[in-house]
Amino acid sequence: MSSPNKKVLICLTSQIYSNQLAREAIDATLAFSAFEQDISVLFSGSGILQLLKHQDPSNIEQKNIGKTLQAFELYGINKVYVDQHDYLALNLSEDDLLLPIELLDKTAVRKLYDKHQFFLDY
Amino acid sequence: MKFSLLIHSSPFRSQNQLTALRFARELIKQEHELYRVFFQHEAVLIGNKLITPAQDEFKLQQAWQQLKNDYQTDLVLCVSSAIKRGVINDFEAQRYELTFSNLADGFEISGLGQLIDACAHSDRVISFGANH
Repeated sequence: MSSPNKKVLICLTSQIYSNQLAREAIDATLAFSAFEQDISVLFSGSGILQLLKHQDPSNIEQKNIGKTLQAFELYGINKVYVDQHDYLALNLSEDDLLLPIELLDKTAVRKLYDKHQFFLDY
Repeated sequence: MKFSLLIHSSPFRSQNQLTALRFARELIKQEHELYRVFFQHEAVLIGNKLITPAQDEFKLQQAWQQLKNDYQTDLVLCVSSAIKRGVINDFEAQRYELTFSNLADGFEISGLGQLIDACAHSDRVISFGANH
């Protein structure tokens, strides 16, 4: 099943708790990592809010997505990127985020796409 | 060229899953190979055999089954997405002690490994329906 030359970029753009897509996307991300695929993760748009610290969705009967994201480091997922343009629009700083990330401007995002064979859009 | 499709969109909420089907048909028509269609998120609802469209409506489930019949296309539903939405095969029915199963013919339920395998064996993977 291994695909040594294929790099997969998982693009996480979904809002965090409005439906199940964010959670199911993270499941897929962890699965790719568990199968030892070469993956990178790009958060953009509202998807960036998945990275917020101090999430407490217990009042809306949801499981904490932030906790699952913290498993990225455990799974060895360390190529985590955030679209700088969207990040600035949300007025965030790195102190607000629960994972170490790298900010990418438009040109860098384009280069990131160029480096990957597959983009899975969530 | 060898393609796989990753579909997230509900069969009911938008036209997106129909677009995916039309894309699938077209690439076969143009003599590409369709390695696998992987349904995740709301897209798995298409695997419920109890879906009963109105008589004069397009039958999307039947259309996927036709594709499977004609070209042996792999139609795989993500297991974790499927069971939480009540799309259940005999195996999962037994495992969760449910009284019946409802997986439509032509579809199978399997793990995310099938998506990873699709990436490994395809030249292109096309995603349909994030946020639809």
